[in-house]
Amino acid sequence: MTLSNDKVINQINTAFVSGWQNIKGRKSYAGVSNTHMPSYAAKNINTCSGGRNIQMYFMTPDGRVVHCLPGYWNAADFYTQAGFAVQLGNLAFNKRISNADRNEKFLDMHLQKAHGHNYGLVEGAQLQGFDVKYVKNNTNDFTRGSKGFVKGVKLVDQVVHERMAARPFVPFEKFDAREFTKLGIKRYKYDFGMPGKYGNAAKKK
Amino acid sequence: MLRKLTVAAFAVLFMTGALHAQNVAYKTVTGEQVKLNVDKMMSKINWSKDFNELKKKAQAEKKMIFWVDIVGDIDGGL
Repeated sequence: MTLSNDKVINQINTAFVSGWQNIKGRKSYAGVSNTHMPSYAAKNINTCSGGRNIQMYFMTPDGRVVHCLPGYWNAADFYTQAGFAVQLGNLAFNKRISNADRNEKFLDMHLQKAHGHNYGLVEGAQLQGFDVKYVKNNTNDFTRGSKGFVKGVKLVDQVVHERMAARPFVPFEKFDAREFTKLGIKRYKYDFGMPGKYGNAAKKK
Repeated sequence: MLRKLTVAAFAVLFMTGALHAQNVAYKTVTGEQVKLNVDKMMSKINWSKDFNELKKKAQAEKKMIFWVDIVGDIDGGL
């Protein structure tokens, strides 16, 4: 589990103050799935899977979003992304640059992450088949254009950075999570580890 | 010649993105371990549920904010 990793805990406690809220039934974009209790077995999934079920925001002290990680991220990738968020946050603290320059730098940094990394660096950041179908029908930023060497659907982390690039320092209250979390279907059945299901040691009665 | 062909083949694979097909190595965690992890996360990180209070705290401590929106309870059923 990512947030129980010692390195991640140390990073969070050093650079951030932390909070959470339950969005079940409160946000139209929130995912719908079966309840998974903390005593159930679990398994890791692809990066960003469950993007409608969890969104991890990194903000400036006055509540402006610099980065958002939707869904699952493993500890190593989370650590890297949280470090990147700290760099973005430092832009807000830098009083020597204008707002225009700050926003441009913000955009540059996210787009460099989106397009400058080696493909496959964020391991497993590929959509599953049903989500590919969803994004092809409901979004216009996942499918690459016909020009260029690389074809097909982008990795999810690339789209996350592209979407963040278009949302520089947006106050949390105004952050359009509904659009941002259009990464796949809303209803997702995850029953690994549940009583009587695969991954649970107890036999089904 | 064979070496050149191998290098060329890898170059083509990289250029076409054929190496994208990299699947995550799935690992499973027992229910007992999940429970221990959740307990650790809750005890080692000081969580708030009041966003406005958290903003004040962040400004006082000159720290950034890490905020989680989640379907369910972070320490309960998700």
